[in-house]
Amino acid sequence: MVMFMIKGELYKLLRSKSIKVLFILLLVLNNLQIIYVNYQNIYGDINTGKRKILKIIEGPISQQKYDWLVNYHNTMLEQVNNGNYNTKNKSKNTFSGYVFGDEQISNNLLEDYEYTINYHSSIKNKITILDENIKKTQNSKWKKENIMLKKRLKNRNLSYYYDYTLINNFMNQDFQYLLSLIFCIILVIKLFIYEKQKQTDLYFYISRKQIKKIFISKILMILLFTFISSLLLLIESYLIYYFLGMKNGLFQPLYALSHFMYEPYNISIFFYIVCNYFFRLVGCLSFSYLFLFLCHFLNKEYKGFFIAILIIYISIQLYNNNLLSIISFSSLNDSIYNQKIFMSSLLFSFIILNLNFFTYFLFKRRYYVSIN
Amino acid sequence: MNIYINDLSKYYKNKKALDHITLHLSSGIYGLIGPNGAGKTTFLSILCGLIKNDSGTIEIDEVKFLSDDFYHVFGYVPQSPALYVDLTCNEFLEYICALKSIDKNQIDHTLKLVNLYDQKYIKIKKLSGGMKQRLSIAQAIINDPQILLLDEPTTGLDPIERLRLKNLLRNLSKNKIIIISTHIIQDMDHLAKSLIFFKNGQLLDFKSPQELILSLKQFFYETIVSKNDLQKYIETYHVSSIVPINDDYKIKFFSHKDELFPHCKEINLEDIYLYYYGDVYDKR
Repeated sequence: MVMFMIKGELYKLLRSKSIKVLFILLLVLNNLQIIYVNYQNIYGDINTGKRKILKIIEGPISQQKYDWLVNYHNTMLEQVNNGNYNTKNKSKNTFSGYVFGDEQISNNLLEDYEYTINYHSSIKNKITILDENIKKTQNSKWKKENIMLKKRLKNRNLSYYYDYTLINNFMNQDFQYLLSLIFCIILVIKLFIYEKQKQTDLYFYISRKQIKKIFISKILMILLFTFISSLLLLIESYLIYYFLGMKNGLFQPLYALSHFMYEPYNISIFFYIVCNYFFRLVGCLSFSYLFLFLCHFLNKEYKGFFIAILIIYISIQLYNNNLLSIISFSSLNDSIYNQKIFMSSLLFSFIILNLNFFTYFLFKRRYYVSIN
Repeated sequence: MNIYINDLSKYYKNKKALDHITLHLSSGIYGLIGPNGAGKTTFLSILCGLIKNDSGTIEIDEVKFLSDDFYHVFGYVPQSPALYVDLTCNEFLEYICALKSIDKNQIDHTLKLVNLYDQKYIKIKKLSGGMKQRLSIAQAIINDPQILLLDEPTTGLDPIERLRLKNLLRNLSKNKIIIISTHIIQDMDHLAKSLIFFKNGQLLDFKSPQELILSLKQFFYETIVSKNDLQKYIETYHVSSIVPINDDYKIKFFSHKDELFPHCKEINLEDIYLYYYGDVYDKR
């Protein structure tokens, strides 16, 4: 019977034209936003030139590739210093068509390449510092942390070089999570407020003993649809980035990215993205359950939209001002550094559980107080 | 099956919605009559457990009414068909079956009963008003409830759909208690076993249509008046019908006083409605 109830809730959402149209709109918005953000990284002679150089140097690192890049950069730099370049007409024997452009590209790529080559020695230095800390510190907790960090940093090495510009942009793609949140809130409006507005919730209250199952099936639907929608948005983002050129490097270690240099967890970039997705999903669901709690007091869809927009706006403002540090789990980066992932998850699971309990209590009693 | 309602009251803040209602209902169709705000929906909502009464008791076959235990004996058709318009009839009834914890093999039988079997896989939004109303009835009867409550089911239906609905209810009424709330009293003609009159939350009367006609006939008069006098009669009496005859009018009206006019030979349910609620509409 619960399966039929879930099937009913599923049909309600799948058959709803507004839900389908909204989701397509969110996919289009996501698409446009990615293209807008990456416009400067895709089009133009500089990017064409960069891609040509990357074709030569990407892949397993080698002295030969490094020497080629250093030589090429020096050649371009020399020409720039001699004033032997033209910014108006394209010059032959360059990748981007411009000497100055090639000098800039090779300079940036050389910095990245050197980071990859020198990573092992940088980590060695870090381990030396950690060793000193372990010896000197009297604080047993710090000592323990430093030993653990040393253990994790040991034996790290980078043997492949890839350009991570698009991967970085993909990882910082927060807009899709905002879209997921909007979709999640629309689901709550559709499954709870809309039923009140159309008075179809009457059937729940007549069926009496089934209310708990109805509530659970609705909660499951929110969970399932939010999961699927955010996954589809993530896949869409990945595919767009793939077509924009993000073809390699996803399975490289996370520390291959310079801002994750001393990242204590030995995970791949791909795994980080998956973790980030799940943590943001929890954040998204937390907000929707908070909103669900407020739904009890709303009986018109437009009021729901208004309140939802207000909540999202306030939350973003608070988050930007670090006032919502409690949701630090939503940024995996911060959480990993603070090593509070599991604590925050537990805390939030507890809050959500309690919130759902109260919401269920209100849901169960709603009709008694609102009729007439 | 019998329902015993004793001293039932309900208040919304300080407003009395139901005032000490006592009724005994056995199998058959009952018309719950009253203007808007009379307490009809509140009464039905209490019966099917949607809202709680403040005082009084409801007993079903002499067992005290506990909504959680008796929910399966009730079928409720809300005032305006509350349906999931994006679903097909079949999907909607499947969902209702799940809510009522019954097997979904009842769907075909129920759809045939309400004459919607051919529309089984059609989306609800494509159905006519009458079909939606029948589907609303289908969701209420799918678990074969012993008590069927219908809140203004005929509102917005054309005459043919009304007739179809009446026939359907007549067929369903065997061994069931059906309570139909309405302010369109003609709908109860040749259908209801008894009529329950509500006014301002109070029970005014509870009799069969025949008993009502017999007992109230004495208050109705008819006469022929000229066009010039017509307005005077309308202002003085509660006129229930005006029929033009050449240049004059044959009027039917009621009065609690003994009038010097001939009594009506026949009165109908509309006249009875006017008898009970004429003053309500006068005030408006």
